[in-house]
Amino acid sequence: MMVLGEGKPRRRWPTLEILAMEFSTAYRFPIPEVLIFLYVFFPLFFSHVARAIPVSTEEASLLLVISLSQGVMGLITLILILRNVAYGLANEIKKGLMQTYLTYPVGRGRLLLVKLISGILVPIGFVATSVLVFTAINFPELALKYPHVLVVGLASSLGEILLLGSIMFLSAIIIKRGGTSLAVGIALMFILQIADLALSITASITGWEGLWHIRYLLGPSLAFLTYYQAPGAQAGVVVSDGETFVPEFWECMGYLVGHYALIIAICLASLIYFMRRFEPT
Amino acid sequence: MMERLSYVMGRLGLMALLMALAIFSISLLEFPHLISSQWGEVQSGYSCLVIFVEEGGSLIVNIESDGLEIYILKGERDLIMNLSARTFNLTFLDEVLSSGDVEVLVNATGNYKGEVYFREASYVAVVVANRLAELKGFHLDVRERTKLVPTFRARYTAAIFALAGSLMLAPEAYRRISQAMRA
Repeated sequence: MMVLGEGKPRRRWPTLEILAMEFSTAYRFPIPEVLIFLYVFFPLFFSHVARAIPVSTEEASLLLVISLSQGVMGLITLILILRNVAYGLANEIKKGLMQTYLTYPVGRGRLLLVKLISGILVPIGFVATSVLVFTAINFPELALKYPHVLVVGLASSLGEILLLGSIMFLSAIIIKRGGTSLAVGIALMFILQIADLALSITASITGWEGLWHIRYLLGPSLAFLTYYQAPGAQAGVVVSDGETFVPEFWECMGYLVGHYALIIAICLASLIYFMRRFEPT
Repeated sequence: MMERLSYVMGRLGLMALLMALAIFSISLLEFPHLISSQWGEVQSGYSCLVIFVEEGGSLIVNIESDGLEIYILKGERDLIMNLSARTFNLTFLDEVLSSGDVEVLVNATGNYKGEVYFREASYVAVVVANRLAELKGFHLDVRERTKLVPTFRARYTAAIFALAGSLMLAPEAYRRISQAMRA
């Protein structure tokens, strides 16, 4: 005799089910395979550039290598996040797919976590793999000699992508329309870059130290590059009275922690909005 | 559940294999560039060009001269640097050559055209010497052909990724093959 519900085994982890569905749509074969190939191949293609950069300290060399390898694939990462979050997530809401997801026995918080993993954390994983492979092949001795520099360099580089991704994430669940959200995401990319540049220029002209603090909070990798005296990083870092402002290591760590606090705050804002105010229509 | 785990491991394994392929293919690429192309004259002395060649790189050397002695030497950094820092007199060159501290890779007279491969990163001196009091000219063209990435390290990493990828892919491949056989 057939009993209702006996035909198929009951799925025990609905969050994992949704994650699997998400991956089978966004990362179906061979998208991640091709992406990882590109993420490893292209930074390595510019290895000779990284090895030829003249630097004052070994730490600066390691930081520049991380920055360069991340920068080569930075645009692809941003496109991936734009496609997955700004367009994909907002489009899912508009098409009513999110409404279907919300009928599953999964909390809203977990659903948001699944979207965060597939939309932002997977591309971040590609970047981290790419940077680590690049460093392991080109500068393994530096990475072993200064593991803390590798960690803070990687964390600050990834943090900058995470910040943009989290803002796009928040805007996508507020806007709820694929096209508009994509346009806002692209605009946000430019706004953040222009803000970085404007902050640096204004800080150089006015010599106001506070602006440098904000600039370093938005991009902690520049603070570390300045601290380790990377070429070009100190250009214009002058405060009033003609004194050069070079952050201490603990200040750089402060910028990094502050940067991640900002990311967590934006993610929390997304979570609170999604749990309390979000209407999937 | 095991089926899903095997699928995930298989996909990760495939990604590791593609990473190995990317690293291996980049290790095959070479990047030739000009180090120096010069005309010079030398009289009772020698002219020297010091080059640092990276691991797996090679030097393409073309020297044309009117009966001058040509040497390509490999040795310790300080010794090779001294060759270009000293007064270019032949006594010092002969001292270095007879000391046995440098490896003479090429010793020719007149003209030389060839490629010298370096398995490890090395300091190299390309020397053109004239033992006569008469001024003699030469043309020296040196190009370096370097690998984009250090070959040994890249291939070692690629091998590790390939091995890990194959191991991760094996259960899923076995499962699919046995499924196909049963069908």
